[in-house]
Amino acid sequence: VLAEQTILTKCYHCGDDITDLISFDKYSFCCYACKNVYEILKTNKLTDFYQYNQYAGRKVNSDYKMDYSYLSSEDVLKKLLVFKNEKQAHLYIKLPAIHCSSCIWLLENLKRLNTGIIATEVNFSEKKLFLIYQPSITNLAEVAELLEKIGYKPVFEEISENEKIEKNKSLNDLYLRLAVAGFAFGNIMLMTFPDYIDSGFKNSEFFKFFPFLCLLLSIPVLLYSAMPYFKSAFYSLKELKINIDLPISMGIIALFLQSLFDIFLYSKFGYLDSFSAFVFFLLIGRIFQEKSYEHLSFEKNFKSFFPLSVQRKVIEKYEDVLLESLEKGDVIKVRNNEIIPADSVCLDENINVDYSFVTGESELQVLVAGENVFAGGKLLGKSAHFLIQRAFNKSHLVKIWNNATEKKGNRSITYADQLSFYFTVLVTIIAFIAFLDNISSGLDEAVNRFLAVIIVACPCAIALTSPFTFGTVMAILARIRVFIKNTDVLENLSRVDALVFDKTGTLSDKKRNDVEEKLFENINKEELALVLNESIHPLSQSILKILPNAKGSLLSFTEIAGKGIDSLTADHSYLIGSADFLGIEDLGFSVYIQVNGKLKAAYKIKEKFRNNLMNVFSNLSKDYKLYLLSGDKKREKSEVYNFFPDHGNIYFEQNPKAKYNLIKQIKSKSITAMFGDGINDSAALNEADVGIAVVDDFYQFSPSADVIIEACELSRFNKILAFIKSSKSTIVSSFIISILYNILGIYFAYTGQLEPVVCAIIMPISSVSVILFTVLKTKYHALRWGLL
Amino acid sequence: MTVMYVMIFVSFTIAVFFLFAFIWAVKSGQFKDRTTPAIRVLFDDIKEDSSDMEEVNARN
Repeated sequence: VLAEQTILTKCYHCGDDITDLISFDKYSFCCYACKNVYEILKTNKLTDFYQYNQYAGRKVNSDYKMDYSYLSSEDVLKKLLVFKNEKQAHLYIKLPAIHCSSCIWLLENLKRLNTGIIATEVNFSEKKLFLIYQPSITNLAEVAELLEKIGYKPVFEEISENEKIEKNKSLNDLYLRLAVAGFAFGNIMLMTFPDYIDSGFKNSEFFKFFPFLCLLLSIPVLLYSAMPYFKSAFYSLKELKINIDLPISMGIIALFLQSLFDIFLYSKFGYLDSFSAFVFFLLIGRIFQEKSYEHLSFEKNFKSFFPLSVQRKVIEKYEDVLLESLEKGDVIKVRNNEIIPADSVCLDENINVDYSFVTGESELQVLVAGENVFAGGKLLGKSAHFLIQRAFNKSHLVKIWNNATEKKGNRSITYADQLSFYFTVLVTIIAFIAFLDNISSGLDEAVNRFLAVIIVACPCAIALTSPFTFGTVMAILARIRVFIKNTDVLENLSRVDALVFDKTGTLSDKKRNDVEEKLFENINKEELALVLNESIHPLSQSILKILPNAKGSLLSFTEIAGKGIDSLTADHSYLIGSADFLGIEDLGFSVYIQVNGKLKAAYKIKEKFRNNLMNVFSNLSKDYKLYLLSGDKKREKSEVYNFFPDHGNIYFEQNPKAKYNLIKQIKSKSITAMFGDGINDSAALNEADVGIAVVDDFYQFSPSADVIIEACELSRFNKILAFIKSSKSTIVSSFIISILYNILGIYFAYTGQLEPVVCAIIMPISSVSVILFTVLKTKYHALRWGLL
Repeated sequence: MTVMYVMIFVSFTIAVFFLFAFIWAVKSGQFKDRTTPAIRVLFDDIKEDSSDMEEVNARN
């Protein structure tokens, strides 16, 4: 109870600081939206929501309500539902706001809030809700509205055989292979162990069938568990490239062959315990490497950028139709904040469109009737009508996208692959020398020595080095919200020497602006706020943020879209707009305020760059070549010059194609990483050796990339890169350690001392010590760079 | 010593049983979501008179 009193200033629902206190039912709330959620939960006896976690709620954004009416269209439903009959409908809904156990509890009790809901199940890591509802009682639009009202804004995705199911499958597959190998390993070891410690065991009656039982157990390991390695080795041989899986496969087969000889020819046990342990360890490494981020997808489909359906005009009425069914000649209605879905002609006057995502140009475009628009622009302000010129699939934007997602070249060659070439050649040579050296003591002995060298030189430790080093790096980076697609990307990143940055949305923050104010005379700011409050233009919204709360009374208000505002208050007349609109000299500001015919104030809206970038840039410029690309027109006094003191390597007016070509050009000289955020960067991101998507939150649309990072992490990217680079030294030193093990082993093998027991000891020790070494060294580096 | 044969057979059968139990678990999708079920077991049933309980708690 005491704790509650000290934190009274925080909202009981969302935990935000309270500015306008709303008291209800002995608790304090920051806004009516939060209070309403509490009220809903209270009337339905769901207040336990607050017992599991304090401030469990998320603030509901009440100024922008989604219209879910399109969810009643049968065509749309067909795309969403995974199952439907008269009694039940099943579907998955993505709820990005899921963040704590209270969320799970509330969402799984959702049926208390709507009697039409039969059951709900949350998948926390994928942030998805599985919903079963009764179509006769409720409908999806109602459920969606309910979810939004209690703070979980739903995102509907078309069901498709997406790559996540595939990912899960491949991991499941590895689990099964691992289980079989582990099962065989445990049992074989139990049966082999007596032979190691009791020399009299050879004469016991069990000795007659134990080896055969071991052989029986190891067959599934050879044919099932080890299969991925054989396949990969086979393909690499076919392409005449040696990868790490080749010496691994050689080792596995040599171990098995030698064991066969031992069992059938010499009535010994063979190396089946080492054989199964080896496969078991390798598979653990694979699983460690295959870590996936369920809630993220690196391969984006451009469709997820667009709405599912649009409003098409059908004889004086609008109805929701699927995006794909739009045809040339259709008239559609697009509302505030919606994306224009296809190339079309604007039918209304003075429409504001934000193209920054498609072209990278950060200034708004004003369209007049009859002007062409490309798909992908975001409409700001009043809703407008468009005449479709091209079907969605043929639009300009989709073409850019399809160009961008053409497959990159072959996968890069990893450190382990490079090393394994020399390794394989060397080991094969030593094995042959051992063979020839011992041919005088009989063919049997020569073959034994040959196999012994290959067995012991098997690069188990080398093969485990990369997965465990990079796996640890990925896990540490994921904790600070830097998500890496796979380990190949990390290897590429550690070699990078040129960094290319996109400006709009990547270095600058699209959601926030810096507003520069210039007052020529005193002005009543409360009254100005009153006028601007009426305007829907984004510039007005930006200025409002630095003005006090509105006061006064408004008599008339006219907004001439694309030009300015003409308004009358009780005391003054206001004329607000560009210099052109007011008919005055342009002083370099974006908005001028005239009160009673006199220029009183002017505002300039500047891009806001992300924090601490200057520092990072000066740090990075020591070790990397930096480039900056911008979609904007070249201007003399652009702030971007601050990032590049020598004014070099800044490119203006870059469209997607130009960005792509530039990356190609830079790539010919250096290994390149590209930072971008929009569709306009997607071709360049794909062409770069490493494409890095910078996002403000992980659920907004981002282009396909190799790395997805949260924008705030840019402020310490120099440290992140240094940390990634340190993994190279970890891998090299770990390789040296494993090669020392191999030299020791080859000595035993060459001199004919490789007893199964020696093998059974060296192998696990070398593997475990290498794993420990890499994991600890990686953690040490993370601590050093302050990332842990 | 014949009992050893029986014991080996029994232990082996049990091990195989567990292997197949694991395979079944993977195939039936029990590893699909490894976070939510762990949290879900900790929830209490909803008390229908939760408002009264709250007052009792407050008094304590």
